[in-house]
Amino acid sequence: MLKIADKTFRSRLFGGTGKFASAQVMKDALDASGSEMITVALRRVDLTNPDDDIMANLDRDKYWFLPNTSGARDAQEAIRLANLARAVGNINWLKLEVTPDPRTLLPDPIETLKATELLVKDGFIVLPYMNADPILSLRLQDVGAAAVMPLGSPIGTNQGVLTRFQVEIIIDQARVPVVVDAGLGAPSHAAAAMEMGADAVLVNTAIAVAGDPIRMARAFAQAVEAGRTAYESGLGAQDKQAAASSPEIGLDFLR
Amino acid sequence: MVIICNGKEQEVAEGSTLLQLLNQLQLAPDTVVVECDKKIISRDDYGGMMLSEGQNLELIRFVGGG
Repeated sequence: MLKIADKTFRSRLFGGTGKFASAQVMKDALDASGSEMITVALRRVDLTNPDDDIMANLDRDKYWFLPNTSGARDAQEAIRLANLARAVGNINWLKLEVTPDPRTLLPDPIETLKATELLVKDGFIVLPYMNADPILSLRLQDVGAAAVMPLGSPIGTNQGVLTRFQVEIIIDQARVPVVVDAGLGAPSHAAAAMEMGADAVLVNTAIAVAGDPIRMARAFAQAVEAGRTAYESGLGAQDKQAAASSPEIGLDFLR
Repeated sequence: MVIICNGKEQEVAEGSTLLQLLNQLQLAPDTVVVECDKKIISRDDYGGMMLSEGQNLELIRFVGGG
């Protein structure tokens, strides 16, 4: 079981709710993913479409909601969004995202650290989205992050875990759960992160834009489970030199 | 009178409350959060909050996101 703050989760696959073709596809894909924690964003109400409410499609007893601060470009904007999330949903959990550059959507480490510290003091359970920087990870934990969410590759790029070397160090040093977030484009990417010892992964784009999002959600769930089981089972060490799997003795009769 | 609602001018009757505005916009009050001049309004106050000319309201809700 995965424990973050005082909550336990059976599923180590966290789902996103963006980019789905319809509310029904989103609902079915999340169901197939087995996810128990899902992210949502905050935006202005579309006044021409007042009934368009994502929460009407999602069961709050089934899912633990993790509002994000996507769109925030500095700590101040993120804190404003955090307070809005708390007010609209009575939720004090937060995926903290501070991404000043819309081209890369890479997180600002300084503003993220600043906002994490202030929000933790204000009673939020903060899961910061961060670049895969082991030192920053330690600093975020020092100020009270409930988990850290290093990126595999930039948001929405489907490139997998390009930050492997750093994520391994982050996992090695972590005192809180490590959730690899962003850029996981295929089930094999999620499995790789889990085999490395990540506590969970967050996947949105790869499921939402798949040809069949519902089956893809299932594939990710299987990959996450396989990767976790492999990690817990202890992977064999890698070697540069070949080592025969069949016995080397008992070949005398051949020559 | 006119207020600013999500960046656009919105006509409301004199003496309207915030709750009446939400009803006018067909928005269920428990699905939105309202900021008035950048201050969050508690849901308990929607019924008692009188709107005034030129106020800047932001109506925010959860949407899909990753």
